[in-house]
Amino acid sequence: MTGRTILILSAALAASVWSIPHAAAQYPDRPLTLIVPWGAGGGTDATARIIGSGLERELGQSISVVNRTGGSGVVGHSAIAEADPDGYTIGIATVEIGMMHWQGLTELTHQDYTPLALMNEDAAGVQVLANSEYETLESLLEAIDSSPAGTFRASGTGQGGIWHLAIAGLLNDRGIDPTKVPWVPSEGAAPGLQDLMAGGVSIVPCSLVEARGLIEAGRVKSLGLMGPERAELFPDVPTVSEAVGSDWQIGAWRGIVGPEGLPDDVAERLIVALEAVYNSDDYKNFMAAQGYGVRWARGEEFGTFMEQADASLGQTMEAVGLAR
Amino acid sequence: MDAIIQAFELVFTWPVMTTILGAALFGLLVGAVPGLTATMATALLVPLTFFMDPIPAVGAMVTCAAMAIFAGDIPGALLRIPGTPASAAYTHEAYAMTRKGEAETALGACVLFSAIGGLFGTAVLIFAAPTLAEFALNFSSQEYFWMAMLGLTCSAFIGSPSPIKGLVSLLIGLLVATVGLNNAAGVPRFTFGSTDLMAGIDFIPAMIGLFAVSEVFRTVAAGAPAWDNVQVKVGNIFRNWGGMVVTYWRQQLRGNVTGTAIGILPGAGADVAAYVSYAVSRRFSKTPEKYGTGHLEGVVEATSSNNASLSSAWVPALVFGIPGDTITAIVIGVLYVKGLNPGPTLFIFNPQLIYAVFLIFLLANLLMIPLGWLVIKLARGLLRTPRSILMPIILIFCIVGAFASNNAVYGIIIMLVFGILGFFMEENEIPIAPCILGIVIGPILEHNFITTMIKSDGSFITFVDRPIAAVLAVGLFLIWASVLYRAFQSRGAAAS
Amino acid sequence: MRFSDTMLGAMLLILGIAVTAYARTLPAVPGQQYGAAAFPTLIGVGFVCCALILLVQGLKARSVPLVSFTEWTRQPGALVAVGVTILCIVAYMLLARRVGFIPVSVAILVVLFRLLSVSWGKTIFFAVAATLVTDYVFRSLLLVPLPFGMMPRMPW
Repeated sequence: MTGRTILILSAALAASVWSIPHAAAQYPDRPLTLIVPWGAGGGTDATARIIGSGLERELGQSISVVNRTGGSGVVGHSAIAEADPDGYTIGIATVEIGMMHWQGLTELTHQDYTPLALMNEDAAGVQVLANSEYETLESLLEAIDSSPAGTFRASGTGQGGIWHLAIAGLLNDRGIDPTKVPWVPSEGAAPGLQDLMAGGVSIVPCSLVEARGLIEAGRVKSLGLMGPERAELFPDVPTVSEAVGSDWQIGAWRGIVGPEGLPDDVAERLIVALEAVYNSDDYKNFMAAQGYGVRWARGEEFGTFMEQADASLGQTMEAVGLAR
Repeated sequence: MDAIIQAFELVFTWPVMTTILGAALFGLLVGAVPGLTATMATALLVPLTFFMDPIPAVGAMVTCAAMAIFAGDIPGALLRIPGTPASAAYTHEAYAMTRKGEAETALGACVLFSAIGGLFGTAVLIFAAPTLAEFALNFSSQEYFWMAMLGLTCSAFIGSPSPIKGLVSLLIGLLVATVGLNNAAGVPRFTFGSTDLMAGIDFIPAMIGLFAVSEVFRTVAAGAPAWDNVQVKVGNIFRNWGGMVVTYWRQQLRGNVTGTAIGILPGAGADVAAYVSYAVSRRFSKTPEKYGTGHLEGVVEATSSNNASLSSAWVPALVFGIPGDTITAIVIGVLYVKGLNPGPTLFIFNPQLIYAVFLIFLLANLLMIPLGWLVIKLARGLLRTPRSILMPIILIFCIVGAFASNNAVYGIIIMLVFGILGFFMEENEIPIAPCILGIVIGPILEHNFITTMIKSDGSFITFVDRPIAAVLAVGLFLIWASVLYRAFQSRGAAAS
Repeated sequence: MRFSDTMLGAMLLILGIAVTAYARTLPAVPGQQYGAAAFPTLIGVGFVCCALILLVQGLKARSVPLVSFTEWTRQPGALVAVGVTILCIVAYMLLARRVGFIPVSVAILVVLFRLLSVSWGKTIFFAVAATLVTDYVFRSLLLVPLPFGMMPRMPW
């Protein structure tokens, strides 16, 4: 008998012994994968990892957090949608799922997923240099309205990203032409803030948590928050509704989804586990310590949330000329 | 003074020390495995830090990242597979030394000068963080544009038998960098409808392909002959080190300063620092012709640089909460969770904590020396393994590493394509280094050019109307003037 | 395989023109002069310039075959070995997901070891040992989701 035959035989034997069907076992009976469409070092990655470690405890299975980055989130979101709907691959979807398809980057929409749970939302803020002459959002908006286009420039994410939409939508809502504040694309809020400090741009409409270091250092101030209520992190920052009476609200959210067509019992098991994670002290403390906002919506409710977000983002993108 | 004593008490406890040691070994492993970066090593630690006290949590991440950047040199030198992108700049050189039988010397230098580099960066962090962070915050897209141009200029000094082929290699790298959605305009380029290509060409599998897979092809084609030279045994490695520090103190210092300066600027990291330092080293060397043939000088300067850059990336992170690279971005998150909010106040209200963090920086870099020494001794065994056994296993490592970079088969495809590309490039004497430099710097250059143009409505004057930008522009102009002057001079000498 | 300057120049010329032509199709950023097309165009033009210089050099030198085989390709089995190595990588891409990392990795190692005339005993030992160690290190220590395929989870 040659070595090759031995090998083949032993492989076959091993396969037959090991592949005892485990259909009878209860879900989950093997490790899960949690796909993150964004890279290590970002807020989504950190959120996914804390949720992952919570889920491990709740489900009694290990969760490997897998970064599938690139293409402004398109790659990772596709990977989640294309996974087998068996509950062993889930992912963290972000606000971009309601934006990418309007820009013609992908066919994917929220309908390609089974919504499980909304875990977090951070509203956009309007940040300027601390020594800027504008003390209120109202005075800033007036100045933008009365100055020629290009006097003010904003940065904080890529072209057509969520913060770009935030400032454009706010201007649009106040009856100001959004093109008056040209967008300077950046690879995230940190480089945008760096450019704000360096004098390259004058407004960074990112979330408060992203600007936290510089706000606490007294170098940057936030004039308004595009959320329903003030943030716990900086309770002195007024909402835009308080500051200028605008109903405009926008924020970056993160939620756990599975591929479309997840079996109901599997989805229910995951939702229950996620609810326990959401209510755990570990999660609450982690999010509060970093300054992230938490927001909960389960299953269907989360689906409706995504649908509304999708429609409102589409409307805004249409209005400010970002949709294709 | 009290704060310093308190800091010692915080650090020198059993839990902290064992955590640091464990993180060091983990960092060594991840760094030495191709495809996994120091950033991933740090990210993998995040869930563990939830259960730790602040000091061991930060200590683990700092140590792990420092070890990973050094460990990337190990497979680079031994197998021509850079373990992390930060080692790519001098992988070729270090591997050439191994082929000459000088693996121990090369790796010894990597350990020693990595540690010194890390200590230098830490010293800068301790003594000058607030001032330097202020300065770094003056950099806008104009300044970054000129920095990127200076970086590209380096490719002219990396050396190539034919300048035109070096330029072709650089252009290939720049072209590769344009693929995908990751550009200022947010337009998909060269994607041809593929979702994977939207992510662009991932640098890590491309690097594995260009260096390692092409080498596997070459060795397999030759039937995996034994190594040409027997490895020289370096007797007392510590005595050897003394000699190296004396011989190469200039290179070391220059690498430290360059690396620290690049690390402080958010957006450029250890990989860029290593390239720039390697090029600078060759430019100022008395024997530039030896570069690429297994010459220690460039390795010393580049490896001094990448670890210095790693430490100094903490300057903007600790002072303003602005991450200097992806590693510090992760750690900033953990700092907040542990109540060590980055910012000037950290230095005022919790000095014992910040001193403890500095102490860990120092410890991590000192720990690198004994652990690195151990690894070198172990590595000798690897080189005694016949290459017919080694090469297939390396290929499996490459495949898994390329897969791990983004957890997708797409990574393996990139690796294969670049393996074949690298193979053909070397067959045709097209150097690989400029190509990699193009992939690294291309996006920085383009992004900052486009955003500057958006800010100025297309006016070029804006590139020089800020003081730092103007200084950088003049510096670049002078460098090119000197290059051209020398070229004409040597041509004139040759003609007469 | 070695291309002459003329051949290399011609290839780069086509590449440069193709890149430039493609870049021209990229949409502009509204209201901006320089957008997605600027850089690829510049790179394409750069390729064309390099190509022209190489072509001039090549035509001046003359009498070099367009494609020549370097010394190693003439050795028996060299090209076959490279071909087999490439096929191994392709096989991994196609099979790993369905069959699993462990069997495919063992198979590739067996093929390559035999190609390099390692004895059967060593082949089996190193193929299995290297695969299991890799599986352990990557899957368990580094949490890389290597495909299981039809293989069950290993005890680690």
